[in-house]
Amino acid sequence: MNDACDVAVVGAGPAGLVAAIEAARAGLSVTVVDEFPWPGGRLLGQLYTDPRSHGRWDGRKISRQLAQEAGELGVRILGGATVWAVGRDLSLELSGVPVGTLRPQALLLATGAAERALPVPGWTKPGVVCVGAAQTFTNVHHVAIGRRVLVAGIDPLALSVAMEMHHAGVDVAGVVLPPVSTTSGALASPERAVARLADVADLAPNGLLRAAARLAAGKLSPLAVSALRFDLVRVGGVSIGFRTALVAVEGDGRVESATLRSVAPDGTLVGPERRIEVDAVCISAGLYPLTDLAEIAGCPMVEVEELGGLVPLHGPGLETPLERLFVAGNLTGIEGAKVAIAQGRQAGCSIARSLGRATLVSPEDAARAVSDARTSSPFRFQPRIAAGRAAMAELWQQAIARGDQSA
Amino acid sequence: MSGGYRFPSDEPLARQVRFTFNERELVGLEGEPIAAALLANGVRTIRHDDSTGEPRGVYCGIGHCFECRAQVDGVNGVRTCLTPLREGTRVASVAQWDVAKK
Amino acid sequence: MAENVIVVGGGIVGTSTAYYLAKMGIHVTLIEAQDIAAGTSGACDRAIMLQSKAPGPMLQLGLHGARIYETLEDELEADLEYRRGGGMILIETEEEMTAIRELVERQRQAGLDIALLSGEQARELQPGLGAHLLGTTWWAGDAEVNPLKVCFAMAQAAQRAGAAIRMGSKVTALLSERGRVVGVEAEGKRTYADAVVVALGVWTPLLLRTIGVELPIVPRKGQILVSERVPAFVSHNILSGAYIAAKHRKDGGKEEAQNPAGVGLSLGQTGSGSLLIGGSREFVGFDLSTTPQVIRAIGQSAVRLFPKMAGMRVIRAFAGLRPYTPDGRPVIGPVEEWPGLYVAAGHEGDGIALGPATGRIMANLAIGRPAGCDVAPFALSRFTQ
Repeated sequence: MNDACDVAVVGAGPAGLVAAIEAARAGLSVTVVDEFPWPGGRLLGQLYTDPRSHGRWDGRKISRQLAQEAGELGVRILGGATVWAVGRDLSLELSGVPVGTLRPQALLLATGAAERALPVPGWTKPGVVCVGAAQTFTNVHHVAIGRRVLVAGIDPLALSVAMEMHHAGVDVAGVVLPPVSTTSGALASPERAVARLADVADLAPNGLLRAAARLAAGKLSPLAVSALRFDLVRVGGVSIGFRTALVAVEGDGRVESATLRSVAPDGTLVGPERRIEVDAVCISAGLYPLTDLAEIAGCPMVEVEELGGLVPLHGPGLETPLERLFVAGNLTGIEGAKVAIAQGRQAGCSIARSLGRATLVSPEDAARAVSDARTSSPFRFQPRIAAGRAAMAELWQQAIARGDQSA
Repeated sequence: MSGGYRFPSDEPLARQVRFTFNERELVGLEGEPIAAALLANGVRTIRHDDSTGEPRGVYCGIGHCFECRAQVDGVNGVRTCLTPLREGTRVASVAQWDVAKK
Repeated sequence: MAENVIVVGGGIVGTSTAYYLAKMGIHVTLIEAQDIAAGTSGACDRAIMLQSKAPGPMLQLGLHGARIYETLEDELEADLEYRRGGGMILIETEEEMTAIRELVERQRQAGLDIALLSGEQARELQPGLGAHLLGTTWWAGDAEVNPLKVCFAMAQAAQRAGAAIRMGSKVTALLSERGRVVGVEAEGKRTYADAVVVALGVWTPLLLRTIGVELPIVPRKGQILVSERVPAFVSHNILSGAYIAAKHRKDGGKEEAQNPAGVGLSLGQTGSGSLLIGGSREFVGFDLSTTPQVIRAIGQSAVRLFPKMAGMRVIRAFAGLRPYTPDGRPVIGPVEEWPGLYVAAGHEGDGIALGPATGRIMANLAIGRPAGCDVAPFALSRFTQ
């Protein structure tokens, strides 16, 4: 394969698909590539009721609709394609199902995010998985990761997945704090976990999360206090141990048990160890942007903690300092699918304009739609996302002042 | 949950296909990732680490960690979480790469 | 006689020089901008191959180096992954056969007992070779080593013998007094010595230029692929005829037009089972990027010569910068217009094979002793006069 196209998009998640649709609407030829055989990205695992609209958010259905719409507009979607290099001319080298080179005029990187690792003794045993894997296997493949599962990590995603597994019939042995380590930091602190949940109290997309978050928010403050004092809260059939942490996973060749210890409100381990029988452990330690291709492309990277760590430097229209290279979705900062969709639309419009095409949506409207999606999003993965976005805007202005921008 | 690892689904199921894991005959659903088909059959250990010999299985589920790699239809290092199952797919834990073999 | 020497550069030449100086009881300070083996010595292959050396001074220096390696693990009290497993050059075309026959004949005259194997004999010795190969050379004396381990072992042995090693300290100027180099300045700190040895590989001209000395060392990039771990099947060094042609070719020739990136196969297997699959020869300045075109070309040449490698995974690629000189020989010796200043650099792709030998020679020269061999072919003056 040695193909030219107007626009190449890496990542067939919500940001990539919507950007492809928008660019195709402007009359551009678009190819989307993704390692996964099916389009949708992290949308595929998402299933919840939006507390604002009370509508059901079915990520698989949305993925299908987006892919279909893209297909009708002539967008080519290549699944099972790994991009192993990005040339200076933005050409993409592919291996996997298609092998060869894709030569676009403009490139959108919408490579999404991966999960942070949180090592704990025994974490490499078969049966210990990331929360995202648990979500995909439960909601997309309808396969249980185990019969009795411990979830380590008290955050919106972990609680959602615990709830989804519980509803699917898995015995969820409990949701506890992640192991205390230099890498887990604040994630392992009961006070911080409670504070993070409080942040999503009004928007929580399922009962378990909503209840836990309300508790944490202090609307039922006596309960929140008791949650911290007595450790265990049982919500919707699932126990949440705000003052319990996973310290080790045991088993001969597979997960057979997990060892827990109590945690003082400041995060230090106290009291004796206790062991519970489980055959799977699901660890949630948060997401970070998958920046490999952006780095290979030569995009300057900046560290913005509120966005999830290292992210490509980008401007208000999702442009980068490299001409005709754009970024969107979780790669630009960890946020939910609604923000990714709005960013996709914005990036699609920016790309179309960079290639001299008119778009129906004005740059201002596209940017506004992103902020609207941000404020109405049921999930907030990074508590200080607005500060992160502001920091990026500042960094971009500084870069322009230094003359880094090629455009 | 009772019995197997596969949840009941209100969606129509994909066609059942036969495949092998280390020459053991198993049944999965056409098009699902090989890793899902293995999990549904209760298979957790996909391979053993080549330096420590420790068992390894699915970890990230999105092709990033490479822990679920296996030999699939003779090709090494295939990520089973990203690779759709087909009728007759042969999956093996051990890297059987041999330069001398034709 | 010098009692106090500064060595600039922590690659294989610098660490070896520091070791031999310290061993002779000289007070030596090694100053390195980054870390031991952070440059070319940490981005190369494993070969100590004599077959590929041009007969003459380079082969003589290579033989000297090969003898040092035979006992180096004992001497440094370190595992260097040294293995004397032999080496072969693969011959694909009649044209290569003619050129390699001639090279082998000259090597034999120089004392290397190289055999020419038929395709069939070669495939017997090395399973997996492509059926189209006309033959290979074979010499049992070729060896391999882990270059990083050599550099670290040299540095540690130097330290044990009293050398001071300053890492993360970039030398930015050579200090001179009354027409003589008397020390260096690094990170604003001045250090004085009786002699200064510059062993900065491709970066050597940048420092020498600060005192008006030009020398024609140019970076020549090589890209190398690393495979997944596979069962042991390469127990010796393997080079393709195209590699030899690229190594010895003159600029602007027919080969350059046909193979602009100078791609030729070099193959070795590490102790962990990964294959190091090289390589290219490219003049692109100090650029260290890997490029898809060259990665693909190296992969294709590997699969052409070992068809079964088509099913093997490449897990990463890296690039290193060889210090090229116009005549393919390093610069080893004094800078005549600056007493007290010495250079040991410019070994292109032969630094691992020749590094310890160079270090031994340089140590002698820096303290005013006889080199121990004929160093006239390596004199800087051959370029400056």
